[in-house]
Amino acid sequence: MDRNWWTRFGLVVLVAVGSLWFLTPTYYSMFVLDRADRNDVSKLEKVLPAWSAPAKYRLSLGLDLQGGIHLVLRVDTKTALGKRAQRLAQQMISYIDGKKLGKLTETTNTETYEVTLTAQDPATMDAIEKELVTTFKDFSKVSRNAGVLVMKLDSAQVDYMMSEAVDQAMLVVRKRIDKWGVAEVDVRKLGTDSIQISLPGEKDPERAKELIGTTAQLEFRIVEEHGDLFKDLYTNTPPDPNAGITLVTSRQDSEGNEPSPPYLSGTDKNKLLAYVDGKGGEGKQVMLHCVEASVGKSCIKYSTYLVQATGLSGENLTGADARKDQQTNDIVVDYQFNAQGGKLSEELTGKNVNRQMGIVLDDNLISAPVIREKIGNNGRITLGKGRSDERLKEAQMLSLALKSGALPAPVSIGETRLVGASLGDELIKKGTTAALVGLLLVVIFMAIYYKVSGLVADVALILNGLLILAGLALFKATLTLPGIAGFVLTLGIAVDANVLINERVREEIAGGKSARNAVDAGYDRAFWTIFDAHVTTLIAGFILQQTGTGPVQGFATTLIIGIIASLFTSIVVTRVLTTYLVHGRNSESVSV
Amino acid sequence: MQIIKGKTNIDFIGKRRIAILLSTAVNIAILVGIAGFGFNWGVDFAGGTLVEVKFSGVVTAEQVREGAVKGGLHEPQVQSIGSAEDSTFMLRMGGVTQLTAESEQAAEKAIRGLPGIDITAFNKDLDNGLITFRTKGEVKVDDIKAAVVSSGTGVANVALLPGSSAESGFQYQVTSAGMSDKVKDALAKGVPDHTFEVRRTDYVGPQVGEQLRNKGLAALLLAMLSILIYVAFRFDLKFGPGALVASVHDVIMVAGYYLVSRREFNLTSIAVLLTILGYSINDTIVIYDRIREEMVKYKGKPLPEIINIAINDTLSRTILTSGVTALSLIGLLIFGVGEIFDFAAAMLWGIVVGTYSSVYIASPLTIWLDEREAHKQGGSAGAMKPKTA
Repeated sequence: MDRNWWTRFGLVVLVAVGSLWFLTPTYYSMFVLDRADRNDVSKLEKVLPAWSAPAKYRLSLGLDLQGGIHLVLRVDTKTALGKRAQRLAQQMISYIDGKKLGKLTETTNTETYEVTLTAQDPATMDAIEKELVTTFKDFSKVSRNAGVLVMKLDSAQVDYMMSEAVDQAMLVVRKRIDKWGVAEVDVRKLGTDSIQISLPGEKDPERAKELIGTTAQLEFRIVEEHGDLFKDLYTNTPPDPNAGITLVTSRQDSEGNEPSPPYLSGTDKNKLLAYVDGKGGEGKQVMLHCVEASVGKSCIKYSTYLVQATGLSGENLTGADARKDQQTNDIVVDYQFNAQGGKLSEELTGKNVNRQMGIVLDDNLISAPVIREKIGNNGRITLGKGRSDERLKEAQMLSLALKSGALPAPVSIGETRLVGASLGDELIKKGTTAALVGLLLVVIFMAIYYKVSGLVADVALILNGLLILAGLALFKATLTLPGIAGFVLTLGIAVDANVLINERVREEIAGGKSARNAVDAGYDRAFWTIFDAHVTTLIAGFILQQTGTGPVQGFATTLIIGIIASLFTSIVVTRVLTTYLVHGRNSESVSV
Repeated sequence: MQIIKGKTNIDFIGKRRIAILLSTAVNIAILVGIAGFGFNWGVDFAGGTLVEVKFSGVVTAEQVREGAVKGGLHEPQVQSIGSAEDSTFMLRMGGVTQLTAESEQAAEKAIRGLPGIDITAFNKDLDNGLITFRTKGEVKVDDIKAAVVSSGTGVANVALLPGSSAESGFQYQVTSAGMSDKVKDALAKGVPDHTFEVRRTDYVGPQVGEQLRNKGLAALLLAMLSILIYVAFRFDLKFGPGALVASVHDVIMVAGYYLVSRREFNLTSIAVLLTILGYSINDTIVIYDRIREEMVKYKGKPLPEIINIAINDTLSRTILTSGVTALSLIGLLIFGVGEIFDFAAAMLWGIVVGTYSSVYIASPLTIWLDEREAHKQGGSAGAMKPKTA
């Protein structure tokens, strides 16, 4: 055996052991954990042996196999954008009014996002146009006719705002679902205007729809000094040691800011809330602020704040936009109230100048800017200069949150799919039995038909199956029913590759070649056929993966992984084994 | 062990005219059938609500249908799944919410009939199951809810919309409950002797359905086109159309399965069509590959003869692969019910036509293209230059 063979043999062993290793978390979650704990990562981590692959690399079951609800929400981005264009038009009017350049009226076409501005005095329009074109860069001029100026929202802005509307709806939906406490929710964007939500284990679609349909509660509440409140609470009635609640006392920070009074910190929102419930004192309430969130996911660490028990409701907010102030270079969030909200805001902010105004979404304090002066209909939160990219992102999050109470883009439920747990159990049992029976039939047939070479092909087939499962686990994919079907199909393709090779070898032997030469020639000549056949199927797989939704995508993922695995097993694995059988043992014949 | 002993010499190419004629006729018949009768579109594409229930004890589809109608459902489609002892049924309703064209009229009448109501604007959105109306005076939310429910439409929520005031009038929005609830109620009322378990509900809005269908078909077309490009690039331009026509042929044939069997055409069906597409191309490529090889080996031989040799040489492989893939589907066929069974059955049919088309459609078409080109150039047929792999 030459070195080349050993290298390839080593690779095959490595891949085989590697795929088994990647399947350990899957094995433990399916067969060691209780059925109810299957999605619980922390429980899985406890039972996993130290040598195992990380718990996150595991194959989870799709909703169709474990039961649960799949929801697709459609966000009416067009309506949202129409409203937004209208609001921007009104901002133009008040901006021009503020600069004392003239009086304008607007009509907004909410479908083309075209704003027609008419000046009271046509003579003022030249100056107005110049000002608007330089200030409102999201718009470009369409036409100008004496005192009538038509401006249109740029298409890049339209795309951006549309995707923002979906992001905003996603934020709201996530917050609402978080409140529900479902273990492993998956919320993701689907296409350009839809949100897909997976709720494993849930069984009441009506309740899900109702919950998602309710509006989030946004409020403005004045932040109170909490002094030693939390310190006293912590020392007098210590929390349950298992609740993970700690008291944080800060020192003067590096920028020389005064130390903030001690506060509580915890990782479990409900435990922390239960501990501080009713401890705020008369007219006050303890609120949580998220200080650390896992990337793109829910909050994982909270700290406590004290706010007034009553405040100003966010339902009167009509809009909020994050932007960079062109003059001061500050990153700011501008927000607008309707007439009623403006009046209330004036009242609240008027008596609380220089105090912090907490922006509260449901139970969370999202931000607490200091009130500099009385705020009426139009407010501005200044986030400062800082690293502008990060600040801008922060500002966008804040403006999203401000708007989330209002939910300007109407959301409708496009799709609901519920699979009962019992059906899921039945399907997974039948699906795996079906796949195993298929595999077994093929394995037996190959061994009978091609004898030793058939057994070699069988080893490759089984490794192929392992590789597919490990690949799915590696990509943290879910196994769905169409996925099982895709699995069966790739088995067929993998078998085909082996049939091609073995038929070639037989032909070469019939043509009078020696065993060794026949094997080498057979593999070489079958290679391009196998390659072409796999690549064409792979192309179909990728297109499905990109354009398909739901079940089709699950099928495509398995198909893609399966094709790549099949290419490896049929070309590399079987050849290593056959080479050993023929060259290694210096065999004069090949059993095919 | 060998399926085919020694070399075969069957004249496949000689039969190509009959094969092409027959296939074309069947394909046209299927296309006409689709245009005339259409598929039995599943809720994935048509929109609507699908509820799968399993009864305790033995219940027939007829009993379920009658019970559902008695319970207040309008034209439910009932289909049984699995064997009779399973007592499992799929009920399909056109609407996604309880607010349908018929029930909306009753609901509107009920709302307008409320005491002291003076409606200035009335809007309905059947897609989302919403009724929005404006009235001059204030009405109790609970009264509205009671009125709509008594008219036969379940209500999820009634809300007074912001911006309502004594001057501008009060605007209310009624959100109707989902259709699946109504199905459950109707079955509980209409089939009182048996309890049942809801195993699955699917609900797809009409716009989403249309979107899903368009996307699915677009994926199919895109996949075909990409494969054509790959084949043209790897082999010869003249091979491309043959592969494409053969795969279109197979896709139409499998579509024919859905047309004739009246099984639901849904997202899984698109997956089946795509799989068949991949499979058929795979089959075609293997034969093309052999043709390419033998064109080098038997330089100067006429193309039809070369193709015949190639098909004969790969015959045992073709039969074996199709047979083994079919074998791997047997498990799905035995253990699968509902969607899985449909998947396996359509796949099996697809394998048969896929194998047939790569022998009788894809390769002969290449001959035809070659002859045409030769005729145009005035040269002899078989002048095609192979690209070597």
